Amino acid sequence: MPVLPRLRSKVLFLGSILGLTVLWPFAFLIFRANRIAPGEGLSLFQAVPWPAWLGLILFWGYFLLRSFAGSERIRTLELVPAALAPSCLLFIVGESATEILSQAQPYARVSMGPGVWISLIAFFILLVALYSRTGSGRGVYIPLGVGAALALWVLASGQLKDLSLVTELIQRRERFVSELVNHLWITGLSVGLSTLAGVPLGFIVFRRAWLRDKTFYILNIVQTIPSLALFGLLIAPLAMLITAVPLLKELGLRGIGWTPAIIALTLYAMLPIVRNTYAGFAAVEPELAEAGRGMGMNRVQLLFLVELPRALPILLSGLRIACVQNVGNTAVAALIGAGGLGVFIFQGLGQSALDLIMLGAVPTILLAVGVDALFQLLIRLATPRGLR
Amino acid sequence: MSVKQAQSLGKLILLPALFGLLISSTSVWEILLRPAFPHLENLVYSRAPLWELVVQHANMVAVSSTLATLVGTGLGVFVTRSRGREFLPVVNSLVSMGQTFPPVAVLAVSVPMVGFGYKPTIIALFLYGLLPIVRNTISGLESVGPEIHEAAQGMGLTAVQTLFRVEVPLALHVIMAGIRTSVVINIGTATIGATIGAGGLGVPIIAGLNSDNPAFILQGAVLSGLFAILVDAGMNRAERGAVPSAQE
Amino acid sequence: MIELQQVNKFFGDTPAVLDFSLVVEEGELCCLIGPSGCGKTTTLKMINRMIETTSGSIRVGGRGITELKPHELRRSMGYVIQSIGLFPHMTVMENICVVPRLFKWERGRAKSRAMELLELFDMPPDRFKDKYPRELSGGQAQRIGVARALAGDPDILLMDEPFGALDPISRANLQRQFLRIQSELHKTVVFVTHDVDEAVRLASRIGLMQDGRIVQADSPERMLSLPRNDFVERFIGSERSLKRLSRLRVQDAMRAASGSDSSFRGVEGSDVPASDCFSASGNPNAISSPHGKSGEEDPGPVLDSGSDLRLALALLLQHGRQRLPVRDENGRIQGELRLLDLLGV
Repeated sequence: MPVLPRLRSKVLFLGSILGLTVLWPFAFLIFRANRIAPGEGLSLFQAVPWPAWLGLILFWGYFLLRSFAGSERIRTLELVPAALAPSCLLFIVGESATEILSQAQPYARVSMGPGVWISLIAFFILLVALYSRTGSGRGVYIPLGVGAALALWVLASGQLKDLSLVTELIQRRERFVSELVNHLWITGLSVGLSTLAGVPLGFIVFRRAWLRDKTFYILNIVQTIPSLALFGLLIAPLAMLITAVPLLKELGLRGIGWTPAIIALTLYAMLPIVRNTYAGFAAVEPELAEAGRGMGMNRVQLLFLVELPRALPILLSGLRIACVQNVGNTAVAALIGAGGLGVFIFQGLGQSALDLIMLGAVPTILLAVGVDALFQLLIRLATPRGLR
Repeated sequence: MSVKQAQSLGKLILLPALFGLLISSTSVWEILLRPAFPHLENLVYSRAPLWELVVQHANMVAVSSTLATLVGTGLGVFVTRSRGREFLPVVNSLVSMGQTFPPVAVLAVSVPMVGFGYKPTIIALFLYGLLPIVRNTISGLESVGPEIHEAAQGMGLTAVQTLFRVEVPLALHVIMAGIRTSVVINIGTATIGATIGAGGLGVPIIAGLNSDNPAFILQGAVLSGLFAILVDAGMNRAERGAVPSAQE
Repeated sequence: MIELQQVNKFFGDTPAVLDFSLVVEEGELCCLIGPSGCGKTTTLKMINRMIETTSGSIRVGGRGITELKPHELRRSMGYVIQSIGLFPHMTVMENICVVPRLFKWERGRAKSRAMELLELFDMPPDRFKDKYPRELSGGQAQRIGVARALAGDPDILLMDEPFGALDPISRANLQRQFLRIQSELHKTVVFVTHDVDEAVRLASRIGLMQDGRIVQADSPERMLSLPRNDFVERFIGSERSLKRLSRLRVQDAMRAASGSDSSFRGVEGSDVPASDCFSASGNPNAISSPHGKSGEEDPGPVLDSGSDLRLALALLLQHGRQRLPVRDENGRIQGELRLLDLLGV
């Protein structure tokens, strides 16, 4: 009597099933006659040549089987296809887009359909599932590194140039770069100002308990107000102030644009920065301060030799939250004329131009993820080994 | 003490009253804004009554946050049970990755997928609102120590009884904080929903920006700001009422 | 020398230390003991101005402590606390070098000082200098804590229940080690503890406090034999005769060997290997009896001349002996200790 196979790994199973949905029901690529025409979904079989879809089926089929059978331990060799798959998929997407466009009208566009996005999520789940069951040798990360390098190469080589998002980017290259720089400036400046004000405030609040509740009460309210509302609240008062004091106008301050954006974003970033500065100093064990004082450190020495190194990782993670949050809110600031990547999002929404929306949204997401990763690295570096 | 009392009095009575007044009567706005903008022709946003925008806004947030709470706590409970524990690393990494995605970008990306209007807003709000709830449910439940599990088991509680009588009460304040964060973010993101035609309190702001009417902007901004503060304060009260006193 | 004269301390209206006068001579190890809340820690912290006095004067080396800035004063004294307070983000080496760095010593000098101190505390520098505090055991961490306090070579050491959080074995080890180091360095030490045994073992003088006042300040021997009042007697406890024994060495009460005494038969002339002997400076669990040649009678353990009489009494009783042989540091039999002799001390 045949025994039902026992499911060994639910995560692997789920990932494989999710990966296989690319066959049905989700469209793989989307074809549009021009940039604002309604899209027409292309299934995997319509979009890519047979070796590609066969390969994809075999790939997911293998891991589907693998979730029922085989050893508990994932071998390094099995990691290789999983690590290389995302870049291969992107490569195929690029090839197919070029192929489809070569047979279409000049203004036609091809973009990635839900199938591609879901495949990428499935690859992510697959990799997490596989890596939670590999050995601990350093060699296991080689496939991942190669895969990441390959993905970067696919992105950088122009392989994806016929995807509509990339087409849009190429067409607006100069504007894109200037808005990206703009975005970075607004985010950087607001977080910088907020750090200058917030770190000392956090320290004061740490030393003076009576200020603590009031400060956090106010900052919490500021954080609660929707970003768009906070921008809006600043516009009219600023305009009046600038009319009343012409000097401000000469200094380059305006009722809309950068001025309210920077003010609002600086206020927004205050809560995480002040809170984490306070939490960082509060995390310094009282016996450390006592030992330091007992050894004859003065206030400044105690601060720089003991308290700050101890508080720094927590303080930096506040900065990280503030930065990630402000990258997003800077996109909203495009609505009040401050520029940044949000310009493309809202222009795109206004024109129903989906590629333009994506041109703003995708880089904003990548920027936030990148800033986050950068700060995580920084926090690791700033955490002394004794505290890890 | 008196500051606290004044604050809670303000939250309890004054702010809701002010909010109610501002959405029910246009003449209040006339009185408030006319001195500031004597030459403005349209002083009060009139294409839809303000209270209707509030209802739209509240509806979007309520629907998406309710869904997110149900799904998010369920998911959080699932991945902390022995059956679902296998999914914990995947869910954790998806959640921490997803939380770095800016809400406005998530909202924007959902348009190409679903289209304009109410539906993509709800989907984006739901997806984004899931993250803090899942994360806090997991960390709340995981913070219940092994000795407590052992004690519960030793007293003969079943797994379900342990969950509802021990783990959930202990984790409740963390879970509630996650829901509150989620709701506040959703209120903010729903404001931007006005740009994709979802209605709500962002509408006067966008209209004001487009027609260069600072009074419209102020109305939308004041109302959506007040709305967020009120909901946050209300949830704060609910949270304190729901959490066992030992946690205070 | 530390002189406290009529020192008072009030926290608000609550008195913590009242009319406190005490002189700690140079090279003396003075233990402040008393029940919790008696003001002993407050007194200690007033010496390095972690707490300021309300009235009265404290002089260190002839100078009033208010003549210096607090942090300069503190640098001139070592300070050890129960919770140790090693800086978690610094290695052992960096922790020890903090005060030398505050003194702006050059790097090489600070380092070699740290090495020296690690050696002094039997912690091989190569093994320990690059460790972080969380990688140390409690006993190791507290040894680093004491080493750190000694790094600037202060004349004065203030210790606030430094061994209080340790398990009994590491505590005994540290006490012994500390006594040895103190006998080399002759620092002026003020040592707060609530453990009478610890005070009796370490102190050259004990100041017993109650409700912020000093009740009796005397040598341990005098305090044990002549408690001033009921409180002192009760605080010291019923075993004070036993505690007195722990102040005395075997060599103080033993009888030197005179020719060939019959009682030495068991181990006479045999070169007992050190590892087979009970060493009073080691772990009591390691007691082992040297096997006599004859084998018909267990000769019992051999006492070290340097170990304390309390331990010797315990061994006499444990083995049911009237007398036990005593050896010197080189393992040579020097004489014997008789049970009856203990009554005379």
